[in-house]
Amino acid sequence: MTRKDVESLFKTYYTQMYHLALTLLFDEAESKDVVSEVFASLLSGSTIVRADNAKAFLLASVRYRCLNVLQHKQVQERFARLLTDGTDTLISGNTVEEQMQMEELMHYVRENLSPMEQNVFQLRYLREMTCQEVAEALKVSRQTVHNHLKQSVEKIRKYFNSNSKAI
Amino acid sequence: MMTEKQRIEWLLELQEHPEQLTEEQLQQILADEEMRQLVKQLGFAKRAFKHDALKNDTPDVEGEWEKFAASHANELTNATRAEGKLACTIPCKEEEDESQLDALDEEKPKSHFHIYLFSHKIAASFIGVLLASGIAFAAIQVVRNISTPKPQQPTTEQTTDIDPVTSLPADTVKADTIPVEPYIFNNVPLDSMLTAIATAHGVGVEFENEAVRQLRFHFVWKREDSLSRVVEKLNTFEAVNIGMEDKTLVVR
Repeated sequence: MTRKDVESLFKTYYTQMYHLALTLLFDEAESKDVVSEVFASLLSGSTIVRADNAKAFLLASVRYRCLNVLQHKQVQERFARLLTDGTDTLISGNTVEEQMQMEELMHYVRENLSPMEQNVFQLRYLREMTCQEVAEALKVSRQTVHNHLKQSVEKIRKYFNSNSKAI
Repeated sequence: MMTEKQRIEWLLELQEHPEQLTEEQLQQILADEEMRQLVKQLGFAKRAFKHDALKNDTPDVEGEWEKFAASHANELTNATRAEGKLACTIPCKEEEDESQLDALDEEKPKSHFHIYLFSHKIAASFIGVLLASGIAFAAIQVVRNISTPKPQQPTTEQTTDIDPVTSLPADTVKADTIPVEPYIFNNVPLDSMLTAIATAHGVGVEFENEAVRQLRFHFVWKREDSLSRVVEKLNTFEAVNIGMEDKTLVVR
């Protein structure tokens, strides 16, 4: 693995790798670290990447390292932040397939959740605000936030159950 | 038995105050298959929202590469030297030569990535190994006038990661030791020429038209030119039609 090889892999796949890490860790610094570690492991010479499977290999490495990071988090944190459980065997290992499932779900979300429900879900889980903080940000009552959130969760739940979408 | 609504209600409550739960309590709650599914599905939904939001996100890849290269400078240099199997033959005059070359190279970002090619034989075998292993590798080869070689001071030369490479027979290349000067391809197959240019710009090459691969050209490559400008100049040759497709030069 020469510098040039590493550089070209880095520049070609960094964005995809970083984004995959972000959709598992939801933390920019942690995600950057994971991607960096993957490239560092290439430099150590212990792994050899062939050009024809570089992408799959790099993405699988990112996924593996992210799950490892998640495993080392407290169970409480994983539960509160809805982080993927590292022992979960039901996550598809195939990034492309998984992203298609995600897009399908987002299509459903856009069709079936009101803008307010989507917004509340985003603030509560993506921005990791408490219901109280969401209420303040949206200038509504905490109860309203709670109701919207419940609606969102019920609808998402319905999506998985009615279509027997296994994840 | 909890209803669906109760379960969701309960989950939302619990998630507001996870610190009030011990790990055992949490394990018990998640032992309920329905609850576990719900948490998993919401986790996936969170990932889907994030994935959706990232569509408009473009990280600063160049900047991240600079950071990575800086923090792994030693490994990168070592990796390259090991690859060329030249690490053990660095001459004693290395430091002096290096500083001289660095001085010449001021206009470029300094790189600690140097390859020393001491003789045509080493260079040729080096290239042979790379070709055999199918690696499109770029290294510039400067041909020294070998009429006055000094055994104590082997000719050395430097490449940086943005210098071009030619995998040509040494005697067909005329090149300059100062990288900012134009690089002259004299009677060089299009194949080798494009590989060198593409590598310097970090893109790939693809030949859709195999026939032109071996056509030879005389071409002055001004390295300050942008890639599109170089392609434009090359396209003035009648037999050549090069297109740019998503980081790949396509020869039609």
